[in-house]
Amino acid sequence: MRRILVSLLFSLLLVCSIVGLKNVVAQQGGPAPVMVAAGALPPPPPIPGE
Amino acid sequence: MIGVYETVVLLLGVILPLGTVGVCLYQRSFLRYLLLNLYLLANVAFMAGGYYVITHFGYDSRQYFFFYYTGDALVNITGFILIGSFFDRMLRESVFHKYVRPTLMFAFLLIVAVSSRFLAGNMDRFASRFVYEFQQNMYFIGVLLTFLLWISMNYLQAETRRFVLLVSGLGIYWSAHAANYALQYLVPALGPILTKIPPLAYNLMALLWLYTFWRIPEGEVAVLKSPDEAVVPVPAGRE
Repeated sequence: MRRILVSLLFSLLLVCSIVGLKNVVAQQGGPAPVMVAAGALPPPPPIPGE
Repeated sequence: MIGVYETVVLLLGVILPLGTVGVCLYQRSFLRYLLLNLYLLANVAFMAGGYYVITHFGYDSRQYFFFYYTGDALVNITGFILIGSFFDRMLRESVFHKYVRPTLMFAFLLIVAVSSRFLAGNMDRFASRFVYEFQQNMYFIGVLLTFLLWISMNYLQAETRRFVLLVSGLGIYWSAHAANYALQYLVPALGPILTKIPPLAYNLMALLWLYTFWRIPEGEVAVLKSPDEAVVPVPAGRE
């Protein structure tokens, strides 16, 4: 039980950190960035509505 | 169609990982580094599939758009498991070892939950919204975990030089993705250039891993030392 609770706390800390980091970055405003996928494929052009 | 530059980067992205897997097979260490090899092969399959979709449906097609982001989510899950396996190996002797697997499992479930929160009112665009959000979160947690791995490696003393270089490769790759995302917000005008960096970082990671398996012997001791063991130079004449 203790193991589960400690793990849950650690994971909450991790996920809260990334959500916080992302929000700090997103507060700068500007258009949504183009996400680049794994590997070396070029990102596709944006499709309206998606 | 994609240009010559993109084709060359794509080709390198296939050749370098296949070279790494080939060296692992030759040295009979494929199973020892099973997850790493599976991660590389997943990337190669993703790129080969992407090339197929581009040549058959076109670079501007919806098929490529959905393949690109959905396939990436699957590859990222393999990458997440790989980082987890590095943690598992790093903390093998530590008291925290028993927390590694449940923590990563909970973190993954929480990321899925956090990514799903954007779905309310967007059910018609389920795939694109969810996958896009999931991808961002996976890259950020990847870079955070690699950073934590690097810190723990410094303090717990990494056992081999190979391990240090493998983690360094991951660090280059995941941080390039997170930096790309952040810098596009800060300097939107540089977007077209910034999006070319992660594929190069991927090739650099594959090259570093190829070098590691090819040139660094399995048992070579890492040169990293913990801060309290650092050698203080003795001034001349006091020996």
